[in-house]
Amino acid sequence: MRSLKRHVGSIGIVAIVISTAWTFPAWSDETVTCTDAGLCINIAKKPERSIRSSGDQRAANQRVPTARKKFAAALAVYDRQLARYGRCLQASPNGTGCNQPNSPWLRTNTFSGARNQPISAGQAAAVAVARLQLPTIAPGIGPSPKLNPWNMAAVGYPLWLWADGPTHVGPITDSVGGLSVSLDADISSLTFRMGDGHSINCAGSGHEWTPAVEPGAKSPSCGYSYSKPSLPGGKYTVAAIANWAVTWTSNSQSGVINVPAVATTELQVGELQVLVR
Amino acid sequence: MALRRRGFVSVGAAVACCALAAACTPEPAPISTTSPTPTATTPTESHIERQMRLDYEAAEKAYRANRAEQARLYLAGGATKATSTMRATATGSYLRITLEALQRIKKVGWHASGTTEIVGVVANTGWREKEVGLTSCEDSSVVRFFDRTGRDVTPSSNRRYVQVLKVVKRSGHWKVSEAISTRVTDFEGQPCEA
Repeated sequence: MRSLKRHVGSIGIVAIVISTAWTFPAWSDETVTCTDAGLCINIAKKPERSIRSSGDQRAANQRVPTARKKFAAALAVYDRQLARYGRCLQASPNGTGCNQPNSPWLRTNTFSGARNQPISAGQAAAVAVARLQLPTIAPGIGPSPKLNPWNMAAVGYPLWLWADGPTHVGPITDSVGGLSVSLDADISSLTFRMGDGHSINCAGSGHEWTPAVEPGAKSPSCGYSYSKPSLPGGKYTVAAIANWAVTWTSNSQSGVINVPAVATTELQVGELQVLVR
Repeated sequence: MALRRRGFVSVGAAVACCALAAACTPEPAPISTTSPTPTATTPTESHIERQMRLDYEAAEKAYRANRAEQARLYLAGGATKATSTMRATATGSYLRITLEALQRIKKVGWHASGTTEIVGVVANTGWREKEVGLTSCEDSSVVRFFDRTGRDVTPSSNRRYVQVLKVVKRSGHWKVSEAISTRVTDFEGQPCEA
């Protein structure tokens, strides 16, 4: 009879497990992995063992501050890398040799929870920005050298410069440590390193050249004319440094984090000879 | 003639095996998820850039192989233990959770029809020698589930996810080790949208 009771009890437990198998956790509070069947499981590795002594209690109390310190340290490393990258791009002629921030895998799930909200909105925003994949912005140069038979830009001719790619990303929502972060990114400014030693700073993302532009007309916002040719035999490496301003909003707070990105292209610049008989 | 009969018997045995098994979907051959060693560089791609590209490609390959294996197992009615392909392409909490889901499917006797569409995969974190991040847009809305009686038991909830994946290199092989899922109504504006 006792065996039968145990058996019935087991069936009951299995039934509860099955019936709760496809219920969903609260999204904002848990870090979960979801599968094809819609089953979402918290990624926390093991249930915490029961606390038996005051020593264990002290250890448990220490765990959260330790995790918080590690998180803050990882974030500080990332901030330093981002700042160093920005400084390097400012100093480098074309962005080569500058290491992009190696965004750490910031493990907020180890110490986030309903009773413990250890990270600030600003920290959550920094993590969300570190995770954000911003598009590559190629240097846009027009008129394209491909439009002429010599495949080159001409000395003295006004070139138009712009950010060739998406100039706005968002709004995107991410969830970090139980906080929802909304991100919206725009290119706030562009710096062009022209490869001949000159730099051009432009507000915004420049104006794209089109065939409708009057020949010889200057760009209203961002342009350049070479005074020396790269040819014969040479090319200028033109670098576009896009300064993304990522506006974040979380927990009724907001701010802006600047993220630089660089892309380069090669450009042949020659002189057009005019023969006068 | 004897050969022909033996062949016929073998086919018969295979059919019987299939009928007994949950489904007749053979486990695919193990796949290689190692990054090739960069041997040559071009003027536009440095040695390290090439290694990064190869690592991201190998990590994505491991992820896609794992998802294909999961899809195969869902169609077959779940699994009781991790297959060699799952172990070759996943580890950590990702392996544990995906296996748990397959075990539950097996336990309740469900099977799936249709497979999850991977809408797009992009790199999402800085490269490290033994760890990269990917973001994947997964659309499982076309996957339907049926119980033993053939009743449609598909969850009514939205099953479009943005998966932030951690892929690690273990003994030279890239394996998905962690996924953080965010449910979305559509993939517009997501980095991994097609």
